[in-house]
Amino acid sequence: MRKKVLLLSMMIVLALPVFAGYFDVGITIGTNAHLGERNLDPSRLKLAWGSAIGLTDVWELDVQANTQLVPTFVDTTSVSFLLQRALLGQRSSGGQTAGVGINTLIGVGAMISPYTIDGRTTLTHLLVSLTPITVGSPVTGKRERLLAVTLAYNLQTKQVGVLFDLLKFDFYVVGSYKDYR
Amino acid sequence: MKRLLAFMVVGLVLIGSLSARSIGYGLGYYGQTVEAQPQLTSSGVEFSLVYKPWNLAFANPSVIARTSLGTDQGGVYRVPYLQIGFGVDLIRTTRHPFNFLAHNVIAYAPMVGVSYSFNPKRNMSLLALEASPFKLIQKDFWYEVLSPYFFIDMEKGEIDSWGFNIIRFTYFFK
Repeated sequence: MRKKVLLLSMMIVLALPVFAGYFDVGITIGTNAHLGERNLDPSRLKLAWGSAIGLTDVWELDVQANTQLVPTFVDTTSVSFLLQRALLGQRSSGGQTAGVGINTLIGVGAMISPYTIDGRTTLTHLLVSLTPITVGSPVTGKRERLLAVTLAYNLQTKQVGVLFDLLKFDFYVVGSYKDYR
Repeated sequence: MKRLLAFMVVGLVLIGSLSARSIGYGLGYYGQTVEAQPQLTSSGVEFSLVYKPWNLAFANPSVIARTSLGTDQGGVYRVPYLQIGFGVDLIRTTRHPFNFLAHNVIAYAPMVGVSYSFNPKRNMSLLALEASPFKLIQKDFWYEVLSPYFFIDMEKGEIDSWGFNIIRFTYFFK
């Protein structure tokens, strides 16, 4: 056990230089809809909340919880993990320069949810995601993500559903211009 | 003479408010649970028209007409409500904890509203009560997030439906 912890700690420490200068953290809030799997998830309106973590100038990790608001208030919640790459340039300049204000994100990931036949919460979906438009950047402190479409392959039912995020806001608490003064 | 002067001052103030942007349209994303008929639970897009004649710092009123288009649990397109009523911005202040949400300084103006609502599918009249606890405003825009509303069946005296506008943008063009 100690060996594993030591190995994990070393990996984290050794991996840090890869992220050097670009690390940022944003708080995410927005909308989510789960389409195509109504038998497993009858939700009609979901609140998306979580965190966007910048790993490099072009890569980020998005951890997003989607909580049902309608038809049952604060009912089931799913959590998705998406590793995303910016396609139109640097997502963060890592300095005081504002950098690219408009971008596109493409990513892959997985989702943990209770959307299984027996309702058990487990790893349920593999995800492929496209966010056609993002406006803003970590350096400016805010970013809007528009019209994100994610194909979600259900490992249990072998069905493909769609996650659609109309609009999400990222508010950066680490890695904005304030940190590069 | 004094009375005439007072009338003129009041008149000028009222005319001045007419030159401010007072007519706007809005788009929102709603979800609604119909307690009496769960199969009519729906979500979709909401459209609104707003008239706000004044820009008062306290109790600023507005007239709001709304309708929406969404799909129910069976995937059928529905118009769950047609509405007309009043909204009141309780207070307008720039001293609030939400300025970090916007690129520029923005005013916070929580709103409550009451409306007459008609459900065309059920041929039913309801009383609508709504709140916009997270409403931010600029000269030309209202931004509202997580606004709950309730439709009350006045005959039965109970909540018929409830829902949220998870996000709503209103643009004032005139």
